[in-house]
Amino acid sequence: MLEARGVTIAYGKTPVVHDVTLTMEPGGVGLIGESGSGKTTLARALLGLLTPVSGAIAYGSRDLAAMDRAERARFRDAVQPVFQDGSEALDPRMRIGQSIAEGLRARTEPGKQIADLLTSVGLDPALADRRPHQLSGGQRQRAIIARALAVRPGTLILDEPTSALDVTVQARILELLEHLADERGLSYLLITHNLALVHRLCRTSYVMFAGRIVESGPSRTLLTRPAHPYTAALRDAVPRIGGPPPRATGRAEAAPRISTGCPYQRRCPLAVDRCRAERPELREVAGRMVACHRAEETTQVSEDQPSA
Amino acid sequence: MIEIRDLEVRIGDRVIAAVPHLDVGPGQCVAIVGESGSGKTTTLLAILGLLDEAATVTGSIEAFGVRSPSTLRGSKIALVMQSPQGALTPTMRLGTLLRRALALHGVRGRAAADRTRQALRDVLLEDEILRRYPHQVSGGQAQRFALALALALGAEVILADEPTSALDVTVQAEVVAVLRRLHEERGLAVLLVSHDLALVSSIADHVVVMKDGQVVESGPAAEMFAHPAAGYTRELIAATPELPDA
Amino acid sequence: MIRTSRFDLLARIGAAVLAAIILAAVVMPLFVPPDDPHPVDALLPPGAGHLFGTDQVGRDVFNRVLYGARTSLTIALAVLVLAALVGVTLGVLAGYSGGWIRDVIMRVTDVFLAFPALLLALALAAVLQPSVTTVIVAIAATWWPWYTRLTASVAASVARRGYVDAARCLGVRTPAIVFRHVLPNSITPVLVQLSLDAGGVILTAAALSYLGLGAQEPAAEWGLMIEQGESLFTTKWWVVTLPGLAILLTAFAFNSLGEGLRAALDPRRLTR
Repeated sequence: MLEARGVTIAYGKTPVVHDVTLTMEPGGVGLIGESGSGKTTLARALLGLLTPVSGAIAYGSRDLAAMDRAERARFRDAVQPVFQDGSEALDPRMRIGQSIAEGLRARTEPGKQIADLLTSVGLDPALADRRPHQLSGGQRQRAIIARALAVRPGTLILDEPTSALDVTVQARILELLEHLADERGLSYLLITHNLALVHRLCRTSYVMFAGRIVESGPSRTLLTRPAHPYTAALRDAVPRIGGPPPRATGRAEAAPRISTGCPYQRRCPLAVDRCRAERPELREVAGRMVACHRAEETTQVSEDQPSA
Repeated sequence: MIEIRDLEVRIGDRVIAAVPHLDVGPGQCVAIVGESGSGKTTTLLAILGLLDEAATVTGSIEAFGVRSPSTLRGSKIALVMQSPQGALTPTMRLGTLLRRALALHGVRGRAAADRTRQALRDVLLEDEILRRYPHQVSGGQAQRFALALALALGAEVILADEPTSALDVTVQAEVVAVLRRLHEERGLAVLLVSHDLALVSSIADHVVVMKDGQVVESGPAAEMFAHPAAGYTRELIAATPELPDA
Repeated sequence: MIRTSRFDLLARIGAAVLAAIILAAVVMPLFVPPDDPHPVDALLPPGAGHLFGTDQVGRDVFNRVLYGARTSLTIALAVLVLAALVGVTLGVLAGYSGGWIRDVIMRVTDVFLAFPALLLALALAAVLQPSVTTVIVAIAATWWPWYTRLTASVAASVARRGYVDAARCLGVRTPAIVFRHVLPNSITPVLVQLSLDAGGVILTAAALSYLGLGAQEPAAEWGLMIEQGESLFTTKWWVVTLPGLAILLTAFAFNSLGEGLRAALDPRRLTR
């Protein structure tokens, strides 16, 4: 399995991911956070696209940095990214078939292999001759998935796979992902800001704020009874059909303070003196890991009042 | 305030938006919901007279009794776009920008200062933001500033095109809270264009659902979400991902 | 890729003028040999026998201008190919690899860019024997750093795109990533810049020849023709003015074409 062990990543001198430990699981793992939380950077490290300053990315209990050529190739075949359509995930100058062919390992009958892959993601094999701009957003996203499947991976790292798509198209891509997970035994690491997606595709979730994991545990527990005030803020901000209006804290854009205390203190409605003095460590509270001094209180309250 | 009758926008002989009937009354929040290519943004641009030259418009659009409402743009009618930072002059402090905009409308000195203060308070921004340049404010602040600018210029209707889709969900909640406040407390009318049904349900009184240039359903929000009539509306509701109940 | 409808009028005129010049430069010498001196006919004004008049030694100026076009276009082509080859290669290398490789390449280009192009070309041309080849080498040596800079910045942004990361994750080897993805997606702005620069190269080549460092008698070259006819400018205008106009027209044609290409290839104008 793929895991991050105490990973810290920095661009220049600025650390963007701090001491993150995360383990892939068969039921799917969600990585939730807002833009700038460091979730995409962590994903790039898990793909071997960048190297942590400290800590390690490990696959099959082997450190990625210490792997030889053959091990590295095996890792490549096991873990593949699915980037979002908006990020130019497909080379605009290449035909879809050419893009997919880059991942083919066996050189026999490439045409048939490509056609099979396109069919498996619900696309007409004839689309292999088209270029990305001739496809709709949903078709492109399916082609991106087909390319990742070319190496027969066991783990897909999905970075906001549906956020550029219309809702009905998004729903069909989610169905496809669920179907592929069943059929091919794939497990997903889903990176998103959309909590509803995590609920659907991932048994376990990690919530990231300012480069740190602030809460992790079973997705259902996190979404229904969040312990960290940030997880609660994320959930309460999601608009719901027929539900209460999204709740705003009014401080969503306050810059996180890293120097001393809790990184979430400036946005937190529950912050007390201790939060400003001492950074909370991840610890187990009520069936999940959480980094909050007041987690006992929040889990207590949320059992009485669901909307705390 | 805004009345649309038999609006049809064509490019060549293709109808890209047809809206037989749409009213935005004082203090109302009307939302046009649809996916890409539905014609929702086209309708909004038609009201503002901002459509491409290639488009031919038939039917009538009236705002405040005026036949070509594009003249009211920037005063009674304000536009809030998906990313307002692009519309703010990058070399101008926000305070300067607001002062010049007010001066253009003949509001100067004390009156301008009063209006500015009131508008910023209405959108929950600190006065300090006036000293910043556009690149120094976050997406949510820029969006709220755009609303403040509209208020200061005396807007009575805000036309908002996906105003929160580029924002994080917590920031979106803040902008929505401000919009709701302006709508409920200040009686501001809002015409919201969005692809997000859940967002629309949390703010709109009246919803128009569009698909492929046509209106498929239109009615009071509460009723439509409880008993959607059109198959497409049901499909949209079903496709909207849901959170588990607590 | 390029739709002619996006070409504005000026760009079309540029393209047409250029086509005419190239055609004339290629076809004309197939039928008419270079004119030899006829001292008897020296300095005849433009007229029926000699469309552009004749020069000091009685050669037809029209004939010389067309043979000059051959020289000038050859120089432009050679310079741009050389400069682009070196510049784009180093640029892609710098942009894609980043790190110290990038730093070294960019410092070297900075050194070259610190000298005014003409001055550097002058110095080089002075060291080497005056000839067309010298002009080509000298100008190319001052021109490549611009392409390195341009390509490096584009390639650096291409290197961050999703398809490059995806290819790396699929295990595609670095040279293949560079040639298949980075280079093709970085080359467009360079092509535009090349056509914008062609006029400048021709002007510089003319300047070097004018200064006696380029093409030598009896070769026909526009800058050389101007140099030789300079003293006659006030009395026998055609000897100088007509090759001068040829330079101007060609430079203008390349620039208009370049501007048109720039507009046509602008990603903001590409339909989705």
